[in-house]
Amino acid sequence: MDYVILSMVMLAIGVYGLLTKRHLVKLFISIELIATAATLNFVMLGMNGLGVSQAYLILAFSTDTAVSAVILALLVIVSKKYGTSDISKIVPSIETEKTEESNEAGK
Amino acid sequence: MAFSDYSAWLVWTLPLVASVFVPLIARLGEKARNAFVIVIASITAFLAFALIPAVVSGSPVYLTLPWITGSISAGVYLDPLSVLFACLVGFFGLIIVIYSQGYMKHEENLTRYYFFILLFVGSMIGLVISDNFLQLFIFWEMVGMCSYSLISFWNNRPESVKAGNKVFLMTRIGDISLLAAIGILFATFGTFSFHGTILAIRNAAAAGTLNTGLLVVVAFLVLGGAIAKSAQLPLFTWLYSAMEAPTSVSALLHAATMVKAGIYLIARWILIAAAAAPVIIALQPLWLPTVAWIGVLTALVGATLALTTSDIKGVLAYSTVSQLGFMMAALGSALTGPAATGWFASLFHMMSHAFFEGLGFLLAGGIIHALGTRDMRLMGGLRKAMPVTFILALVMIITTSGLPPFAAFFSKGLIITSIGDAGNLLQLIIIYATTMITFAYSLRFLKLVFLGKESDHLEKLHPHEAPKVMLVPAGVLAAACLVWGFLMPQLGSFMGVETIPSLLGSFLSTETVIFALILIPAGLLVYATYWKNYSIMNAIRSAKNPLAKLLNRAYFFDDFYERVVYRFFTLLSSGFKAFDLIVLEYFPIIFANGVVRFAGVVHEYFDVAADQLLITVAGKSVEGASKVRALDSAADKLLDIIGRRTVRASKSQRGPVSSLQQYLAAAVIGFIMLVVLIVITVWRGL
Amino acid sequence: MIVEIVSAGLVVSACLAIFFDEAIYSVAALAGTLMLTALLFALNGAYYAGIFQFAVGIGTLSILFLSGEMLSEKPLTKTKLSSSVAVGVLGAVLSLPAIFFTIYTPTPPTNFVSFGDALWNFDAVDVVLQGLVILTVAVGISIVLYQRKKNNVPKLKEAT
Repeated sequence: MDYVILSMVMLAIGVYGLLTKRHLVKLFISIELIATAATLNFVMLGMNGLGVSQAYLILAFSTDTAVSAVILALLVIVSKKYGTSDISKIVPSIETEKTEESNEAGK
Repeated sequence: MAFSDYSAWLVWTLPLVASVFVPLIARLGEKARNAFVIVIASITAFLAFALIPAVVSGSPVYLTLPWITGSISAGVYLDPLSVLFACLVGFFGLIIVIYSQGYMKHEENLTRYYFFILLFVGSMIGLVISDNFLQLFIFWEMVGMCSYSLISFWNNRPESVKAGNKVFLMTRIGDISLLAAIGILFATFGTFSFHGTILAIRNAAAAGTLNTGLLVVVAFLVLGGAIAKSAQLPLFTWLYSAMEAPTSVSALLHAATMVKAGIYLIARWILIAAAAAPVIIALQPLWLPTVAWIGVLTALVGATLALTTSDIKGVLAYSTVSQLGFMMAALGSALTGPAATGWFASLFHMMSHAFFEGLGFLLAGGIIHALGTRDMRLMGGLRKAMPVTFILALVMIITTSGLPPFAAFFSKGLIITSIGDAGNLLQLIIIYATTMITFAYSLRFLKLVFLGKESDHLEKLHPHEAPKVMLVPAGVLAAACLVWGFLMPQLGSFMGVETIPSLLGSFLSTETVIFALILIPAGLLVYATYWKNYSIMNAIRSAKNPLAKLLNRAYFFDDFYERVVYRFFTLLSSGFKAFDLIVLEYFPIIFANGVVRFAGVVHEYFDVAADQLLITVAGKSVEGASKVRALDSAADKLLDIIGRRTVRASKSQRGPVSSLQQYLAAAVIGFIMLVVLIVITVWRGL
Repeated sequence: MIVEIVSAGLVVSACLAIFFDEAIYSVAALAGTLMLTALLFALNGAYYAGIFQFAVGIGTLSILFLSGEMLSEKPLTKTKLSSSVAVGVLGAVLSLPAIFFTIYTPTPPTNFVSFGDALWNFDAVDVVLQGLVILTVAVGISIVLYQRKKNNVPKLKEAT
């Protein structure tokens, strides 16, 4: 049972979710997944020696939770302000010149 | 403790401590302060004289008190030399304090004046009576400081301030030399005290480890200190500048006591050096002749300058320089010759010079007080207006010239004897020539100031005689001039010197005959110049004569110091300043500027390169990242296929993923690159 | 055995968390993820870590439920059960490498490598420098994108 691969897999899932999903809460969940993967990796790697990694987990995870609370508050504010929780409407995307030009040319 | 023990400590601590109380007592009033100062000076003089019985027994007495731990102790060293000087300073302190009552009566800031006078008396006595070099040096410096303060007493006159500075700086050069000598002595023998040094020299000589070369070097450094303080060549010009001081100060410091400090130092050094025979032998070829030559040349220079100056205090100042040269020359002949009377002769002449020069300054003070000018050309025919002064001046002049039966005849004669015994004919000739010139300038002084008819300046002013409080001290000094010469044998036995000619013997010796012979042409020359006013003499004395020019500018010593030395030091300091500025300030700035410019170039270069790199990479990444949305649609299509979802009707075309996620995509690409690179690196390392 | 199952469940719930269309379902899946990691910690002997993860996870989840409720709008599509099952299978497949492969053999810490050694002999410096370069590139990319956006994109519209 190799926890390194496990955490790498979870990291990949989290990154995928971060890159492709549009709902604000889903983005946040992806970030949480990445954090969980990292802390899982860290704690599992430190299981042979002293319990230092557990101490670090406590520290990091509590910080992470505090940050999450703030992020969630901001997300609520943003969604109330813009009236949507779709990130592609809040932060519009960038088209490269080529595709734009091709679109323009295409039209 | 015997009384002399008490008085040995008190004689210098009392004036020092009392000087601090002068400002306090001055609050009670002027009369209280004056009375206090006179009382302190009298007690000091009394204490100084009370030291005489302690030393008559023969061996030096020294009392020490540990001061700072280690080899530094404060102490008192009583031997005939120090007691002689202490009595001189105490006596003169009292005389000058009484004189100052009259001379400085209309001055302001007298509290400061008396404070420094008492401080000076205390320091000078401390100097001569100290038993180790460190204490001597401390008092040496204190005397210098008192001299500076008293010379610049009239501190609203810029000339006085400048003169004070000049005196202090010139004597400072000697102080450095003396300090070096003290340091070398301490490093070699490990002790500051005189007695300790004598013992150490004796032990080292007995053990054969004495470094006579080092002692010769120390001797020269000590001589350097004495040259500055006693106004020898080449550091003598300060004595004339010190005439900016009030005349009572000039009498105390620059005629009687402070300038004798150098003589004391050399005399003390000779006593120490005479501790062991190898030292004397080492000193003989080089150091003693140097001392003698410096003394002889100084005497000549001083006398010639006294002959041509028109300042009444200038005559006295240069006369002091000349007489100090005599004393130094005698010290130079101290350890040579069969009779070896130089040491004693110098000290004997020191006392008599104190008397007659001090007298001269006191009288000059009275004259300046009455006439308000120092220029002798404005004076003339003063004998009618100030008869007592005239008589006392006559005494002074006869003494200066060395005519019998006054004091200087015996002392100067002894000096000439000792120089003659030393065997250097050239020195002897120069000394005789100086004696001629001494007589000449004394006579000139007499003629210009007192004889002849009254000058116009005098007729306007109607001067009166000096007040009694000023004349009485002068009279005391004149009496001393008369009496002192006859005390030669007593002084000799006091100082422990055996081989002195008796009074009559010195009177009838060869020197007297030569002396008399040479004085006659000198007198004739002066007669021709000033009484008969022969035109040829006027032609010689005119300002166009190069000899006159030389004399008028004090042999250009002052000019030399001002132009060459001062300019050298200014150049040196501006060189240092430039170095400091360029290396320590400009150079880092130049360096930093260079670095900044280089960084700018690099930045531009990298800007272009990095920009292009970034644009390329970023463009490609953005193109790639903007295709991320394609991922999702592909995943959706896959899921549709797997989950057999029907195409939803209201499924709008998924819009483009937001730019935030495009950023993230680019960052993920970067991270993947990082991981790949790490793996490659670690793999390579493994 | 239990550990493998738990870790497989972990991956499955992670996949599900990002798959669901509705936000609340995603939060529920995340809840499963966090609890399963706490269980994993406890099973491997890291008791403190497990308890802590459990406690804090509950707190996080409560906030998430609240905000998920506030933020959710009616999604355009409804998730079908079959697609979620498909995603679950996908997750189980993804967890297989973790169960069967090992790239890390845990060894008790033995040598203490000095910082200088690690920096130079073990090439840590290379890694750090390369990381710096790559970070610079990433920052540069974001700057370029931002500049492009400033030139191209219309202003954001606010909620009326």
